[in-house]
Amino acid sequence: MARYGVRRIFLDRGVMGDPVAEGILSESGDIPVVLVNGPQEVARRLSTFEDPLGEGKHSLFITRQKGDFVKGCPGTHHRICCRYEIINLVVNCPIDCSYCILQGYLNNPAITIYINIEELFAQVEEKLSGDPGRVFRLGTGELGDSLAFDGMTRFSTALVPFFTEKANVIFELKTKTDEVDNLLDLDHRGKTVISWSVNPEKVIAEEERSASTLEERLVAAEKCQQEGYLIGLHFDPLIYYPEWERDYRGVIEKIFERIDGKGIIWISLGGFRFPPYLKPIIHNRFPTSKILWGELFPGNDGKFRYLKSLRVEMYRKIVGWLRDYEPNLFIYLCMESREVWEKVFGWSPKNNKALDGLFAQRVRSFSPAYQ
Amino acid sequence: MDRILRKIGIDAIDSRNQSFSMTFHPNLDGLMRSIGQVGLLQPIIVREKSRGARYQVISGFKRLAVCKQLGLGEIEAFCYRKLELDDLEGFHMALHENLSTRGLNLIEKSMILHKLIHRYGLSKESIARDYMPLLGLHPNPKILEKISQLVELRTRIKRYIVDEEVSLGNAAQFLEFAAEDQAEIGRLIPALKLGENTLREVLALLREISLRDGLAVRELFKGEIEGIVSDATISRVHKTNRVRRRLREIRYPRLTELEKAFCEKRKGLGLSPGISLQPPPYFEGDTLRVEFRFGNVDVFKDIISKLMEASEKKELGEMFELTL
Repeated sequence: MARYGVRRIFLDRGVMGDPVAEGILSESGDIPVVLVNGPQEVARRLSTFEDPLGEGKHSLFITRQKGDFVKGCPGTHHRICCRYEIINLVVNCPIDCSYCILQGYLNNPAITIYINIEELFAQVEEKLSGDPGRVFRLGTGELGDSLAFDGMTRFSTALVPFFTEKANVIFELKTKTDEVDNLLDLDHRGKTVISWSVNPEKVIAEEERSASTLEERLVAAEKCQQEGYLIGLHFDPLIYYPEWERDYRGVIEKIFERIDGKGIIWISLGGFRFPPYLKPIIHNRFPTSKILWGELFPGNDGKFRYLKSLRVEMYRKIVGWLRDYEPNLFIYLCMESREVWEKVFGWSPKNNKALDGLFAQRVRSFSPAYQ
Repeated sequence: MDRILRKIGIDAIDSRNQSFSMTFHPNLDGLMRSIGQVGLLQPIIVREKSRGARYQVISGFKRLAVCKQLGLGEIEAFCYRKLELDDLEGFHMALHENLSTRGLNLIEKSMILHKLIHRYGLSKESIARDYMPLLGLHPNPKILEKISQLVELRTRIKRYIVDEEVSLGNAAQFLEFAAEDQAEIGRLIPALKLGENTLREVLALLREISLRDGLAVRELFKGEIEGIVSDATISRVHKTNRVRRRLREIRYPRLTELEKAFCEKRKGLGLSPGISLQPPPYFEGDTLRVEFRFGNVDVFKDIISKLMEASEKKELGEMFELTL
């Protein structure tokens, strides 16, 4: 946690004395605590800084979730999406990636930690019981890093055991860190996937400020696999630059030096993409970033992407390199069109539901508990 | 504060001291005609100095310059004694006099804000609150930051901003270039006919190519672009289109390659000029679009027959391959 340089904790007056909040504070050392009246006050205080988004990365806000914890991944229009369900338990992230969509997506720059985890569990149970025949995939790593503050919140020690009892869900913790200490002794019963976003060390160093190195991530993944966890990998965003082939091949080589491919439940590929509003933010906050130098054009969902021919080339090559190590990997594309799926794999899921069904098959193939 | 209206010798005024000047690139022709015909109607404002020439101009730099050019020996002025008007009061007075008599351009607003920050040491908060609304600007610290830096641009660029009434957003883009690149751009853009959108596009292309390829703008201009700009036989509009196209080609080589290949295949289909056949935008979709107009059945039949002929040619299939 020290690596993220937390400068202050905003504590919502409404959660003073709450045992979960107190537990987090007890792990926070001598970080100053500021009592506030709700998120608006946090946003207002941070707005006085020259770079509110950057300052927000060093500010925690402990509060209670008053809305829904679980939401469907918004995906994007005119693309195949996988019906993933997002758990918003920690929102925003201390890792400052130049390409991060959260920079323009969230209305509060602080990293918000919700402490009413029992209400989250109730909402999850309601969701799961509403469609008992479906194998849900739920994860905490879409609007924040699942593990960056786990040393402080210890949320994983409640979440992982909770999901062991559920029949129709697989839970995913997604991270760019090596914060896995809390996970190693947990009884997960194969119901939790630990996933890492991966990129070449060069991209990590230039575009993923404060993230763990690839090597650190893979060492952590190896430890988790040794403890029987299923592993997920997300090549997302794939960044094009002249040496991308050499570097991504290098990433894949390193992965299979440490990870047994048979224990990888899924791998996603997603080319760098961004909504138009993110371009000036990247330009202003990361003036030396090279990420916008590619040939990026708007698609019919409004997001900018690399030329389709380039994306297809990148996906095909990476799929090939991965399958050279493990032919039976389950590889999918994130937010891509049917035509791109067809060009990469020779087939495409008919629709989002069909892709969800393929995930269910994959999950079942790993554990009889899901039959 | 008592000011005295009197005639003073122009030689007694230190016209080189520009402390209170807030005029950029003035056009004195109208004022010259006016003063030449009817004389000075509005006295200038001066303050006594401690050394050298006896007076320092608070307001009326242009009037003084014109009177000098007209060879007048004296000028009517409101005079303040040395200790009656401190620097900030003088600046304030000059500002209000300028605001009450004319509009200020973007560079002049920049000069004013820059002086308030750097010469008078006012806080950015107080400038945003007290001065930006006076200048017709939204009181926002980020806008203050941007505008106050414009004064540091090369003179040629500043003139362009004023002459072409460039927006703040575009003017601020010039700040992202090094001084020597600004000089090159200042040489190039007056030769082109750029609206706000095309200026934004051209500057973004220049910046992105320059950063990506590690090239100074001067190197980028060498050769083809320099040739286009200096070609006296083509119009500004034509030059603009060709420079934009060339910059896009350099910035987006893969897209350019696809577009050229598509164009070649389209030629191979032998379609008449009235039939438009287009790829999906940025080659992102998987369908082509054909458009044509016809005024009678015969023309329609002719177009259909041309399209049928095209459907048998290998180029059509190859065009689909380009869209993947």
